[in-house]
Amino acid sequence: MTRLFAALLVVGSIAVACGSGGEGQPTGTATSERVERQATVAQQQQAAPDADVEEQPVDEAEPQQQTAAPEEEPQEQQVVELPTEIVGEHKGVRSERHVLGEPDAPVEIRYYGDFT
Amino acid sequence: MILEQLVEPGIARFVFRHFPVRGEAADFAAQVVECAAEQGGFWPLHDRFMAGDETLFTEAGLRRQITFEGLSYPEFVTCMNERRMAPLVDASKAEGEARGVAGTPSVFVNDRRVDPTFEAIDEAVKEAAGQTAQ
Repeated sequence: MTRLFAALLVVGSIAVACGSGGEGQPTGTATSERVERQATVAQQQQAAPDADVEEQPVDEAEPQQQTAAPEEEPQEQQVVELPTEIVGEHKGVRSERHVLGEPDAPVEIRYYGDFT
Repeated sequence: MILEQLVEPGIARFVFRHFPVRGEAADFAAQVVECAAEQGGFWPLHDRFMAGDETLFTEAGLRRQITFEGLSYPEFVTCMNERRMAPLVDASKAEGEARGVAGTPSVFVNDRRVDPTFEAIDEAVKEAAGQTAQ
């Protein structure tokens, strides 16, 4: 009886040991899957900034264009033609709007002023 | 001096550009001159402002001067109320800024910046005229 009881105890211990090991394996698999999933998420998260970086040139293209625009503006402004229709004479010289004197005069005096 | 000694003899032509830097009054005056210019009155109004005629900053004074020059005051008022000449004044100022102008008066002789004194302008004009003649 004693031997039988001892044998049953050994078998029971083995069964318990196997049972815990059997549960442990799926747990371990779930953990590894979770780790893999987390790793995948992490890769995706890492990929996201990369994707943003890849998109950035597109986004950055606009600021670059905006940055380039002010450089072009002065050129555009420089070619603005102010009206210079002939209005006759002023103080004995030929006058246009903004201009006094002959258009073919060899020298131009350009005066920037305000009236206050 | 510039007109008599440099423009009348045909040595140089004088070009005026607005560069209002002294606040709303300067901007207002520039637009007054341009709205008058719409009817051919640029230089008379330019001269009145340059002479320091403070009455041009009053409605009565403006009405008197615009009428005196034979211009239509109602047309002038419409031009002012619509700020029709604001883009032109802005363009004039922008042109100056593109040349590096920051204050007034600023003078260029054939694109070379010179001191805004008659002596400096006269010397630069004669030098430029000599170069052109060569």
